[in-house]
Amino acid sequence: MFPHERSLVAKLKDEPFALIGVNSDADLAAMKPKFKEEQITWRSFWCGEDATQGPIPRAWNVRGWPTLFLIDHTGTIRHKWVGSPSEETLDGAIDALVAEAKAAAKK
Amino acid sequence: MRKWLLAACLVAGASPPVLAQEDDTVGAIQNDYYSTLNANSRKAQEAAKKTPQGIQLPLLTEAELQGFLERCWKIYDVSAGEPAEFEALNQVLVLAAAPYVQPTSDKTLQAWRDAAAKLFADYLDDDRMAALVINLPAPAKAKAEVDGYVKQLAGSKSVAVKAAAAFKPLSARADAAADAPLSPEAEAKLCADIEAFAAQHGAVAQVRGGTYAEWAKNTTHALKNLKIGGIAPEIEGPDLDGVNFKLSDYRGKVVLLDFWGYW
Repeated sequence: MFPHERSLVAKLKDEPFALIGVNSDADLAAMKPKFKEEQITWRSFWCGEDATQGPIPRAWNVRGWPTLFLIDHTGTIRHKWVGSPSEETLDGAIDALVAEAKAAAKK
Repeated sequence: MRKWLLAACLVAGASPPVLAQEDDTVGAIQNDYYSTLNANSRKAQEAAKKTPQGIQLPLLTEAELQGFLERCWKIYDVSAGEPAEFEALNQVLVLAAAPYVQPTSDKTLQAWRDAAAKLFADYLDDDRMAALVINLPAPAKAKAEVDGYVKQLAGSKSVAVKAAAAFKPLSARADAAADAPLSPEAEAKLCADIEAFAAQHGAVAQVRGGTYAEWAKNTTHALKNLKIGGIAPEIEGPDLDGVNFKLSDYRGKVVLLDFWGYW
């Protein structure tokens, strides 16, 4: 998943798009060097030491990893995937919503 | 000795022995079952290496499956009223529902039906039925019979079993709604059904931990606030460097919210 996320962030850097993570690693200090290695540069919330049982996954009823929510420019949840969607599915859904966001900005 | 015998038979390509030993246990059947799957998987991998586009070896043969089922019935026959009786019947359901031998033979289907009929008649009031019914294993051919059995459990004297029987269809509806959003009327109906369930069974401990009241609260929240087409709930908290930020800071942009972990 990480390579595709990296390419998404690079490809859409000038578009109205943001990849926001919710990280569920319990031991953040131990993991940080790995994130650097993987070039995980996008911003993430941290779930705390309760990790997958932390307050954010509980509030979002997330029970499988990865889980992805795609939210449009109005803050509306438009798609949800439990497990990684195919790159075509994900890119297609993002492109459609980015186009909507740009059309709305022009008005 | 038993394992050695089984391995020898596998090497020779014969069906596994039906062991009538008195010390046979459901645990031993499970061990032998997984050893057989592993051994067959290794054989299949080796065969695939030799003939890249060639034959696919099964992970379990019909004869092997029948051997394991017969061992379960032998334990059942000699353990009336003991914990092993329930375990043996449960194991028959698990074996008959496993996907390795397809299509399910009439013999396997009959074994599933016999075990299910005995369990739901003799163990109706037994707390162990709660965990069993949540994940009731059934071959595809018997799926239609499962609902009828689950309904029978509503008459159980066990609080845990009654709750599990009411929970099962409700949780299936909630899971389906998470994938395909409901109409407002259907959503209101489902939430009302969940509330009615929680009012009756909320204090009962869930098989997977927590109480059914907690499940009801989380599920209703998710149905109302995390549906496709609904406004995303706010998230506010520290990023990985400890700097606070909010999900709504990104309003105006498309956000891919990614629940991830490196592990």
